[in-house]
Amino acid sequence: VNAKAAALNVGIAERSGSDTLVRARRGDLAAFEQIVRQHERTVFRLAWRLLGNADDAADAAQEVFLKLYRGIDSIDEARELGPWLYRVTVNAATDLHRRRRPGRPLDDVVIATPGPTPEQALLEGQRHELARRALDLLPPKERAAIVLRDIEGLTTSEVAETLGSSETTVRSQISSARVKLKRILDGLLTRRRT
Amino acid sequence: MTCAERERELALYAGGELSNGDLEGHLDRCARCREYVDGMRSLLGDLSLGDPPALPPIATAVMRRIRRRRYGWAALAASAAAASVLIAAIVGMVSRPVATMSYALPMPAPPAVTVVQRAVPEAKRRLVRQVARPKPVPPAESVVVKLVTDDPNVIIYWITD
Repeated sequence: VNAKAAALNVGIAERSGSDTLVRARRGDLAAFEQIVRQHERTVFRLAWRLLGNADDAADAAQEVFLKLYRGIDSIDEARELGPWLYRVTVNAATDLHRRRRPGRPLDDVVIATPGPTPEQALLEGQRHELARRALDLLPPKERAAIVLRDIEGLTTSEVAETLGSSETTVRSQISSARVKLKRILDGLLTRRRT
Repeated sequence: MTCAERERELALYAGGELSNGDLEGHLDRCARCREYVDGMRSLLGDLSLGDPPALPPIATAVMRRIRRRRYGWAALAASAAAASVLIAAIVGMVSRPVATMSYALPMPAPPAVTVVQRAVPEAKRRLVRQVARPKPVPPAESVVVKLVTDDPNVIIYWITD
């Protein structure tokens, strides 16, 4: 019964979203604003994961929704808006990443307290900060693939659809990105150890 | 295949995208590769750490930009339309010769009136009163000039005696 109720709720939500999309297409700004408010958190979070700072992420998110406004007639009603937003967010973040200032060096993340090993000494927040900054050093496609797969939790096929690539290509990008990330971080920790 | 050559396979294995007997057999025997997989899993966990910052007012900013774009153009178009109507009206007035002529026509001066009084005897005055009782004055012959302008709603009549 719960599954049926959940399915019904999803159906209603999809129809409601579709209705909102139809109204937005007819020029109803209130409907369009409703769509933006519904998705802004997801888009901003993904942009922040890809870009690493809130200001750039907010700029990218605005560009995504303005692009949605300009191209709303080309959005397929039968398909969900989510994958389209993911794809456009990745593209917007990639463009912004090319134009923006270079990232901060990894070395300025300080180890707060000495421990048995450098890995253990790093506080949780610092480990995340290091990993996030190391992401900046990856090629854009690999960075997008690993963010979508390992942080956003999409399946490999969903990542492939979002990036417009084959699953084989995405698996290759993900494995390459993970190996490079580990080398970057291991290299940094080795330098600290010596 | 060396351990270094297995790194990409191990990376996929750590993320759960790859599982095969050959690789798992190697992991059972190789402590270095097991450590690599553990390190990779720890790294993937670190990537997910940290909450995004507070949501900035994205929707508000987007809607402001859209409204400015949409109504900004509408306001500009309305101003342009109003300006063109005004210009057309001014040009029309200047180039309307009939209307100009109507303002230029000279108006006739009113006729001068002279009152003359004389001393007249009472009897004669009575007679004069009878005789001089106002007679209906035949109306002077009037001239009516009708000026037709370009505008059908504006017709100018000039009436003179």
